[in-house]
Amino acid sequence: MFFYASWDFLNFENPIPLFFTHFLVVICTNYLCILGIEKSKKQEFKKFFMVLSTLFNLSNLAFFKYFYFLFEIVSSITGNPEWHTNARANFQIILPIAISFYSFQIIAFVVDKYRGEIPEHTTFVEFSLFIFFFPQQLAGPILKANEFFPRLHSPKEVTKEDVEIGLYYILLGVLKKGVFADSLAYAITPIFANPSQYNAMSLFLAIVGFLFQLWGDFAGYCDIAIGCGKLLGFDLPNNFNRPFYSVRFSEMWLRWHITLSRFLRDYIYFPMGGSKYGEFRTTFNSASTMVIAGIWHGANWNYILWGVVIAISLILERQVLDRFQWWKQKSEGWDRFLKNCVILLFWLVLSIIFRANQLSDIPIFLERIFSFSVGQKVKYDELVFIPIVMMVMQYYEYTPTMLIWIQKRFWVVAISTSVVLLFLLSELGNKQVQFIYFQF
Amino acid sequence: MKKYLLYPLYIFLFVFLLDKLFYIPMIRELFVKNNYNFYDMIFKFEDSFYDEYLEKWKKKGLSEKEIFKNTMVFIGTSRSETFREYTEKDIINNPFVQDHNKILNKPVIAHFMRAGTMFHIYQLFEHVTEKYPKEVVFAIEVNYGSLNENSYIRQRKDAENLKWSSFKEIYPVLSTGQILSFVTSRLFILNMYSVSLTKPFQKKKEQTPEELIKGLFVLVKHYVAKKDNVSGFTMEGNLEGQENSVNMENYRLFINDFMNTLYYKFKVSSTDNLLFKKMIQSAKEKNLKIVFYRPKIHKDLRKETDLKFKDAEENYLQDITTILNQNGYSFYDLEKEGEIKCAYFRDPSHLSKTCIPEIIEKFDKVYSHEK
Repeated sequence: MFFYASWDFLNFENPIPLFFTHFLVVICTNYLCILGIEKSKKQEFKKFFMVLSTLFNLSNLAFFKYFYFLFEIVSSITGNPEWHTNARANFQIILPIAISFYSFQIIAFVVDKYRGEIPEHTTFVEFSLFIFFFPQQLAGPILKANEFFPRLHSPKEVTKEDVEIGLYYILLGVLKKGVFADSLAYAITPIFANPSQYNAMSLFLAIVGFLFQLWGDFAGYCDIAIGCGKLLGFDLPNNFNRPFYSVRFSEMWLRWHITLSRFLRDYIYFPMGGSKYGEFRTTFNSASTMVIAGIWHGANWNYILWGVVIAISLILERQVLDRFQWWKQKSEGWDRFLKNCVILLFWLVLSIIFRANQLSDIPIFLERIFSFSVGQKVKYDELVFIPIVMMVMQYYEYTPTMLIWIQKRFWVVAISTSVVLLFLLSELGNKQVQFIYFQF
Repeated sequence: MKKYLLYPLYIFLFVFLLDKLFYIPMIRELFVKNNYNFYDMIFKFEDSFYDEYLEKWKKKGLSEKEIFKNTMVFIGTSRSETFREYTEKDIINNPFVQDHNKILNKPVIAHFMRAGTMFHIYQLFEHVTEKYPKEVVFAIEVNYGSLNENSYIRQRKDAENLKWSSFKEIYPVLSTGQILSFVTSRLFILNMYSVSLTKPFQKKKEQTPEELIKGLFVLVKHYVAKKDNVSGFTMEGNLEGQENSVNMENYRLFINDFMNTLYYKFKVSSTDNLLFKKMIQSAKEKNLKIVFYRPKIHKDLRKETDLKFKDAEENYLQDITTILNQNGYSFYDLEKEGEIKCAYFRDPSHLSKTCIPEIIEKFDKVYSHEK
């Protein structure tokens, strides 16, 4: 709690830490609904409390996250652009940190409670601990109750293996975020600020750079969270599993931000009917789920387009590509390599959409790259060698062989990694770029 | 207690101690790429210009005393940079200057921090005013935009690299976050230096001030690259209202960039406001001659900033005018109609060199009766 309150509270400018108070109100309101579900005998009452809690969380999220965006849409539909301008001028809404993550985690908990998947009574302290669990609170992995409560109820002794693997995850996370992702961020920021000034190769490298920055940044955070969890005796789920080695469009989302995909599957896709109601409904359900995932990322047309493009890729794969045996079958060697290249290219398209400062920059990127435009050249070697190193790292980082190898030589690895990290962080100049997913 | 539970602590202690090795000057000398902290680098860079400046005017046959009697020192952001760049060519036949000879013989020097905030300007002010004798007139840029707490450039955490002496001086006006940032940066000395494991094997080479400062601000490097390379930005400048279509496109991009980086999520830093007051107090104590001024920017950029903070800026300007008047200092708002006639721009945020002589002539009159 102190961790969350500190960024508001430590300023000493506000006598009451506003965002912390807001967070407490959210937790208390949800806990009342949880009690309602637990105490109600009738299924209809249980459902009422579940719906009430879900609506409350979604409205809370919508208000903070989509307020200006909704005004923008309404003003453009009604032809009153001043409404949007006035809303921006008159209401200063700051997005509380972690709101998207904790909202989803709470919704998942309440729905699981309603479904009877958490039969035992949950105390207020337990529920608060679940939501306030500091390692993953700000940007995931999004936890499910069954990944947290068993450990809470019967704490296991932290083993030597937990400590060693936990520290490995933390060092890995710092390396990905502090060294790789932040270096890439500094190299690509000027290019994304002014794509029309740069040549085709620089633009291409900037897109590649952003793709790896995003992975390093987010996976780095999750690694640190998992590592801290291990040191405390909790096994948090992995959020990434070699995403850039996917060979199918649908596989990408089983490897990238795994806990969000799991949430979307369990609480949106399945309730919509999943794959139970024929081909058309299945395609529609999976496409709409991805559009919702896009909207979840932020109040921005880029994210919506991002979701739509993913939805199209899933439809295309299900309806067209899967008719070809070559695409559908499990493959090895060159086949796998070719499919992997196709998916990597798709990752790059998604990264332009995700990162472009405005929608109008996207065609500039594509046009300049494909017309081999001339312009300023990128001066950063990082854009070439860091993605290569990261690609190799992604392949080996969580393999059991790697984990055993590290445990066998723990102190050699720990000391050498610490020295290298310290020097690299210093060499690269303490860039300290904020975690990208903190904005969600 | 199981020994392995202390592993994280062992690793932390190891890193902590390793970092402390860099307090030993010999080790620092061996591995640290830039054996200066952020402000040292800036000050060293600025000091080299001081030396160049003295040299230049001494070559004209003036003694040090004569030079300083007539010197005007500009301090500010990149908007003060042009005061270092103008040449005789910009004065001769300049239609905005009345006494060309006087301005030709007027020693002017500028000390600036590109994309600097009031926090940086204060540090520069404290350093620079120590160097010059009291006879010189200082011209200090007051720029509402440079108070932005969320400016991109602030990601460098300006308090982190403060020297202990400066920190002691200004800690009462620092925010809790800045104080924490300073304290934590002191826990790890490598936070302030950049090391290279290969340095001991490299050939020793004395770095020029330009090399030292290189890479400090990626963003600024980006601007500099644009300014120098993109057609449409010329050193001679473009008369406002007569830009061609290439210019206008570049201006639009520049303004977009500007609003999204330096003026991003604009929020006035209370520390910067207090530092400005501290600067006036310090100037009074040191009995310095100072002219404060608000630089002129292109009307298209002004339009954007007005949308963002017009009323707040006007209130701020009123407040500082009152404070400055109370302390006996003049304030010139070059944005005001008629303050200066020249309206040539090198880019939307910076006046052209053509306008510099007119500003110098204007400020020169402020303390002329004391000479």
